[in-house]
Amino acid sequence: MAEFTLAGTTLRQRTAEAADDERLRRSISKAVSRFADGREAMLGVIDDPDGMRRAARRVRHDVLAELPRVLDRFATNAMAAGAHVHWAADGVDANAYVVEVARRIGARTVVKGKSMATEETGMNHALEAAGCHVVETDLGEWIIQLADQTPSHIIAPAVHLDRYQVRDILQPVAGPDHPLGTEPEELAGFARVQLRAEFLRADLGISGCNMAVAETGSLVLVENEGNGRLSTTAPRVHIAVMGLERIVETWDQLDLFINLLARSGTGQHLSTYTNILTGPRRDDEGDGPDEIHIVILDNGRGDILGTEFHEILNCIRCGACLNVCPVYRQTGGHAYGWVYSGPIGAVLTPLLAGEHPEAAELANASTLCGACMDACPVSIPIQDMLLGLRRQKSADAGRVEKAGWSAWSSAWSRPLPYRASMKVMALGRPLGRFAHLAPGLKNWAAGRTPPTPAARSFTERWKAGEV
Amino acid sequence: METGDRAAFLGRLRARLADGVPDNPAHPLPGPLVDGVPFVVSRLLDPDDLVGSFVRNADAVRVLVTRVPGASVPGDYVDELVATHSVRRAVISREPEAQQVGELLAARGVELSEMSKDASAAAGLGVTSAIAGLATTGTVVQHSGRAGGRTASLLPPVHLCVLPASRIVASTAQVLRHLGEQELPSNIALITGPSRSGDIEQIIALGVHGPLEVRVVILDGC
Repeated sequence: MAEFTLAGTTLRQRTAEAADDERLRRSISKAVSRFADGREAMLGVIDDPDGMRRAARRVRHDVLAELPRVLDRFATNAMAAGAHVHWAADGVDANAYVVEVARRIGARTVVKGKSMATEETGMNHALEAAGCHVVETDLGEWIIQLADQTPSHIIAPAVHLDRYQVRDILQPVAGPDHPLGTEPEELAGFARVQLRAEFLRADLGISGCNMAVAETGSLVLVENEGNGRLSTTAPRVHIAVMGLERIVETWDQLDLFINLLARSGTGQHLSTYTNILTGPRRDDEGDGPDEIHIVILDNGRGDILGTEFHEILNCIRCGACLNVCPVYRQTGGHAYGWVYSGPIGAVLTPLLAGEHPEAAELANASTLCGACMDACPVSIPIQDMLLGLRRQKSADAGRVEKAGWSAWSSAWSRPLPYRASMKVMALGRPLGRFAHLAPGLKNWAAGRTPPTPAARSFTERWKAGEV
Repeated sequence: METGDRAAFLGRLRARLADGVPDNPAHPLPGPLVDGVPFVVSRLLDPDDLVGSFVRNADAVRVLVTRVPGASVPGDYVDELVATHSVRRAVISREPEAQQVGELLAARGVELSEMSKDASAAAGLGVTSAIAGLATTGTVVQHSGRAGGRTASLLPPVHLCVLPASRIVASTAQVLRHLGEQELPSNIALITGPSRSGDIEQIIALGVHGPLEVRVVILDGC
């Protein structure tokens, strides 16, 4: 697993930092509210939206249950249309293949459309180490690339920055003689001019893949800016990197997902561009790439199949679960420490990057309220999976912690020991706010405000006729 | 061409799926889709007025739509277009509907090119037709085989699409669900409005990479 670091800090440090950053919280909250409102409005204009979500869950189930056959069919049809197909077992394998193609064609400038899979493999660093000039071309991705940051939202990578911060990041590119304003339209216009030049000189374009369609060997890419179309059109070689689960079998199925994706994500009926790519440019076409390569990436995904977390592979990366999550809304994406954030990230990160001890912590950064499943266009029961991850982690937990919880659960399920424990807590009342000093409680109590036990219990007051 | 080990890659997945997928009793899987994959139906479509629906929904995504009665784009429309954008160079797709506009542009002194990356990058206007218009969303569907390329709708700052009214259909389903029945070109693009970004404070900026302006002329007479 290349490039895996959880930001070199603990989850607790990152959430505390985010919670203290008023400006960050304002930016995040404004953006996700807008996305979530848009989602409701757009689902509100279609018939039976919940029925569509149920059907979508079923379709994803049917495709994944037959994934080996569907991928096989896809690869055969994509190759028949003239594409190169590479099977990459992990991120190192995928990066090595892409670097090899870049070397063979002598690529100097590489333009990239937004792709979470290549964030996951750290592909930019691999290409830069091979001497390529790599340019992210989605406006938000370009901004965070210039600022040397990571995406804070699956579909809106620079959502944590306001216009003043964006201006400060872009100003060095413009130079001291061209002072930039802070109007989003002006900043976007500046990006257009800068990035258009990169597109026209690029030798290689790299994209992700929203969905592949097996029956014709096609790739479907969805975007609003046009950078996705440009990255897959202007350079003479295009490489698409797709997670092995990003596939449907038929166009009927694709039609359902294309109508749910933008509604759930940005709150649009359809994205501005739905780009369907099947093989390289044909002889009678005046533009488009001469070569197209499709890298099918496993990188830990295959190991999720058939487990209790299987359905997480149904995800179509719309970001709806982030927008409704009470935790994400307070912290933004960087607190999650890796590529994928929000509820989906809290499940995917430990599964795809499980060897890192910090990753398992993420399952605790959730209230288990279930808003994520309600918003999910394919109804992934994310909260069940977060519980599953907690269960796995507690199975590994230390004996002392386990014994403590087991004593607690046994005591509080019986009236006498329960009442006795309440008496003890009431006696300890004057010490209440020093609970975190108690041995063994320090880690658990840090960042929490302990409640002060009442002087008399509810049962005592009930008996006295006070309540 | 193929690299990596397909058999080993798929073999690993088959082994993982050998025992099936565990049930989730808390949230059971919905039953099989006995009637096939359902169609998404939007209330923004008036099924009795496809053209009217297209006009309304395209307008909502900031497409500049004009409906003309005949079977060709009128000269005065082209006069206005050339004047508004000071068009000097244009790329024209191979489609006959676009070629007709090309003749009008040439008569007004605009330099024309066939579609290529360099020609489109230098042009102030790209002219295409569409294999379909989608009434529900105001979308035009571009076919790189029929058009002879894809950059006319992508690189110039202004894209004009000439759309015969008879090609307006209800929604994505009428196009996407038939793609398995035909030979596909390298690119089919569904375009819904001008290029846009909301990446800075979710404020919509138009024309961030693709066209700043998308115009559609609907030919009611064909």
